[in-house]
Amino acid sequence: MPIVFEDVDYVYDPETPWQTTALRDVSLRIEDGEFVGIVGPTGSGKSTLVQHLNGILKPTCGRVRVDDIEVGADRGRMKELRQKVGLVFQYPEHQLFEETVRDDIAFGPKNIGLSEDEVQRRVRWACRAVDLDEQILDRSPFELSGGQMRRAAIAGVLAMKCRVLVMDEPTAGLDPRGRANMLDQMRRLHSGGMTIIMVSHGIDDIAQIADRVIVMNEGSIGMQGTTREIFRRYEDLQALSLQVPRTAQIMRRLREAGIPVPVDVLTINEAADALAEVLRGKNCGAEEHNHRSVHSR
Amino acid sequence: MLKSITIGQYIPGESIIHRLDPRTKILGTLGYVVILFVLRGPAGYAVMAGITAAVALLGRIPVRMLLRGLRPVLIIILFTIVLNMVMTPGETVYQLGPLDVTDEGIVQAATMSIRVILLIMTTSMLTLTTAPIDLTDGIEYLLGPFRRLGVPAHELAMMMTIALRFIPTLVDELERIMKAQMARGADFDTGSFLDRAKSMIPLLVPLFISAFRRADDLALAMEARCYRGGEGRTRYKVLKVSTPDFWAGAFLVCTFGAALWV
Repeated sequence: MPIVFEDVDYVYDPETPWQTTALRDVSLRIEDGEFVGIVGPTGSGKSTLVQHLNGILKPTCGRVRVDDIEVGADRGRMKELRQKVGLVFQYPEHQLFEETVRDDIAFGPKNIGLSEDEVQRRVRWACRAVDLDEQILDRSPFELSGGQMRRAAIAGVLAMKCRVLVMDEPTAGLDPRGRANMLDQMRRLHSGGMTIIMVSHGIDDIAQIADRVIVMNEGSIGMQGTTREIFRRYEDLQALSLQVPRTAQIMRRLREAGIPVPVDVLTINEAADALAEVLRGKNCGAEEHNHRSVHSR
Repeated sequence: MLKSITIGQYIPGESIIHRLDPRTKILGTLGYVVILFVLRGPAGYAVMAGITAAVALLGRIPVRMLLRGLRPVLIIILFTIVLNMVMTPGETVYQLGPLDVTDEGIVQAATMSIRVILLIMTTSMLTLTTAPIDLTDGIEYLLGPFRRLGVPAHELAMMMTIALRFIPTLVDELERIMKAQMARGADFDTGSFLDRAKSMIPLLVPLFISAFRRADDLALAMEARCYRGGEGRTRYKVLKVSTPDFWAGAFLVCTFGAALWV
């Protein structure tokens, strides 16, 4: 069942000199099994928005529903909600605290009162899901490398076996390989049937992986649509000081230079295909190019 | 939840109180506290309350902020009232089981609670109207003469500046960690005392780790900019006493005198 926001407002520190409205009139709907990317400038309300999804924040006005649970109203069902929606905060490795990685991953499952057997089963499953070697389970989380720490922390959320996974800047501060691995893991979880919502500044990451994009601007939804639709709107994005994916920028330049390439490519593979098409067209002379070929090289 | 701590909080403003030299404000507050505790008789307290009201008005401090500062000490105030009422020997006006509420006790309870309330309100006004940096600059200057006695004035001021600077950062950090652990089903509000104490571990361990990391980074950043203590350091912002400070000083001396007199 879907996630629905109806006219949601959120105000931080109401009735103090620091009062700030972080969300204004936000309405949206996320269906089961979608992969949604949320982008927007700093301070546009992205993080505030996703914290409503598992009841960490409650709407000041309006309604948020996840399945049949109304966030804020159904107080007794908060635990149930947190099992449905897993939330991975920015720099999740800063939340690690236990003596061993195993105990840290087990923290969530233990909190929801599972049997020891089930807890251990989940720990191993979560560990595999984030590509961690089971051998590190008995080491201290503070001995791990930065990338491993992040994966251990994400495993701690996954072990809740949530159906919806929300990730706030999961690739921030990772090296290129770490980033690629992270995106692969998310893709795998998504193809396993999980709904994934990813907040990111990394337009290129979102372009590669999301089905649909929500653009936040000053607490409201600026645009939403399929990834291709959104990243075609170069001028609109630029007005919000956002950019189109780097591949699309290159294609745009090529087009300005008079080379007939499509500008709405999202990934490097698509760009390569489109370029190959153009080059082949030149060689054979007549062939019409078709920019919808979305296959790998 | 953690935002209700008003002591140490600063509300930026442009009022005359905000613009006073921090040293004037610190000495004024110190004087106020001393007078408050040597005072006898209700008329004096009325004068002191008048001073507090005048400063709050001139500083355009919202009443709500002042009242909010009292919330954490409410229990102490209630305790003071009850203890003073039943523990002071004197003429019994009301019998409460084995305890006697005395005439003198009621007077004592009233003066003590008014003292505490005025004390909290006025000292929190100092921080509400003075930027933390100005405050520590003022303290460093005022502690200067004691350096000969071995008081590390600059180091103390620097430590205070850093501590004050990091309070909001650590509060934010704590809130973030709290949210992250809540997302993993942690529960901080229910259970026995022992359960609740235990539920602090997932908050405190990450908080300490991040505090140490920040301290390391800060030390490195300071060393990279050649920080080596206060010796020979010049100031970007030089404290200056101006006309309003004289007026404020004169006003305080007069009113303090009046409070002691009446």
